[in-house]
Amino acid sequence: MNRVVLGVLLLLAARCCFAQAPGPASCPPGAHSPALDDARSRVQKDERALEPRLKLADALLAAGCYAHAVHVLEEGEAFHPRYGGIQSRLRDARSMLSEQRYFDGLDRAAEAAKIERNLLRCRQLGDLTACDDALKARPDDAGIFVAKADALMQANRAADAMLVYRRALELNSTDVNLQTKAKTAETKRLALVGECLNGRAEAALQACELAQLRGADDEFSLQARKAMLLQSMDEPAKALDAYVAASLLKPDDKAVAGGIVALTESTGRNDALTLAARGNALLTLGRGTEAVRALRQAQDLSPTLPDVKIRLAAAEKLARAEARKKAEADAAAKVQASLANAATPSAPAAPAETVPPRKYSNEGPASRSH
Amino acid sequence: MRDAPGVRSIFLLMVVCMAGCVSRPPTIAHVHIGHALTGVHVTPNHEGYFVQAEKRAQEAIAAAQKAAASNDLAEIRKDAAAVVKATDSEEDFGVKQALEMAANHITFAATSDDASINVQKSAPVFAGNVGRVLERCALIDLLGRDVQDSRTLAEAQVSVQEMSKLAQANLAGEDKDGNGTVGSVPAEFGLVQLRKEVEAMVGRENPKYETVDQWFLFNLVKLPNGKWVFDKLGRGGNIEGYK
Repeated sequence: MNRVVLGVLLLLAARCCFAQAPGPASCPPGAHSPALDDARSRVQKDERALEPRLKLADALLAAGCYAHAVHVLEEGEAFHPRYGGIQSRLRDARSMLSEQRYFDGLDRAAEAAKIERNLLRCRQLGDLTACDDALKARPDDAGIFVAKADALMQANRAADAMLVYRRALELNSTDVNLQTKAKTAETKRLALVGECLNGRAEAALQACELAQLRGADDEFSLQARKAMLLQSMDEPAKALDAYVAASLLKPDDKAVAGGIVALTESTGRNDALTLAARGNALLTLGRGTEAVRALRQAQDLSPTLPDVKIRLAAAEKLARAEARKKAEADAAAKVQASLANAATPSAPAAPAETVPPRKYSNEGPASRSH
Repeated sequence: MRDAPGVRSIFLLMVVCMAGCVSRPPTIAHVHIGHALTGVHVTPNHEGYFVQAEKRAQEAIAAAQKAAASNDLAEIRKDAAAVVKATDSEEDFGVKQALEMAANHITFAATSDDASINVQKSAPVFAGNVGRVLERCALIDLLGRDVQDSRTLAEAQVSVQEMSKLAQANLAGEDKDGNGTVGSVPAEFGLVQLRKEVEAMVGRENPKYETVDQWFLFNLVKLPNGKWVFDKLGRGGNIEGYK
């Protein structure tokens, strides 16, 4: 009952009369070799000639072109109906063709069974792994995309479902039912967006996660809201991740930058990415000197971090401006101080009693005009 | 030389007897077909591979229907395992193995020196047409594993319902394209349609195919040179690998 042994046996049974080992299981498209091409042209020159036809058939069999070999031999059989050489080759060619179809069928059967099983589990049990496995095998099958999107909807993952429905619509844009499903998913996602932005705590957080859709207009709002919710739920590490993700979408948002600065301090996290995010946030908040420090640390840890050089250059420029302002401010303060000092007499102040009273212009004898 | 009427009569009687009593052996091709349709020494009850496949398909249907009707997860698992065993079992000639062997033997038939053009042409078609049954067998196997791994009754029921449909289709065929005809194309074939195909092939045989005698069925051997012959001297039955 061993299939392999049987297969070998089948092959041996059929190949015993071939001088050359047969080629691959199926005839390669456009297969040709000098021997094959020569035999073909010789048969074309004289259809009735036996020898070239037999050579062509042998070459085709050797190349694994069994169906073609059968065709060539059947044509020859019409010209030479009783010739044993054609008969025996035909029998072998048909046998090889039979095996080829049989084993091809076995391989196809195993593969098709896997796909059917995955489809069943995807459609009826909402098994997303099965959906993905089915899609790996049939990446352009709109039906599988729909099944996956339906499974995602069952799991309340409307945003993910929307993306998958969109992919299915790309493949089958005229399907009205599919269009309706995509709209339903969008409506459901908008409801989740509302819950995220207006709800509280865990429920709102879950809604944010389910509603998040890459590239959507509200992507940043949802991410920032998620960060704030996490921060309010005393999940600083996760909140920091969410703020960092939000900052990537909108680097100049001051609220997000503030969140990053606060949480990098409280969590003490100092990996390259976090430090880079902190540096960017400080830059957004206009704190150049601190930004330079954070960005330099990030660069030291990971010199290949994207954009860190540009950010660092901007931070350094800002830091220089800050330093200049500070220097100016210091100088101004100095000037003021020195002016103040200059206004004060260098001699010891005379006792108040000795200071001559200031003479006012209107001091004088009273007149009528006063 | 004196003509003895008694001797002549005996001679004539012998000739008549030989003509009437000694039948010609079947062709090697027909014996291979007989292994698929009538009998072979390795199957339970020495039945032909195709007969074995049909029997096992019936058993699979019965077990699958029982599983599909049950609300007990443990019972479903047990019955699903029985469906798999009847469908795909190396040790017990499941539907898959029995059908594979039937297809192999029809291919053997086509390879034989005495194979008719009819058999030579029909064998590749048959070999291609068994694909859907083998596919269902593989699917039953996968779903059977899913049943064993199921964590809930509902999950197991989804798989056994499908197994039941597949087991049924393996025997009777299906109407996959929804045209109202079961088994209208090879992709819908079950054993019923495949048997019809083999019987049609056999029906076209000239000289006519006769049910092969058991002795021929059980004593066909392959020589080292690749030729199939009958083991008239009883030298040890079939060679290794040929069943």
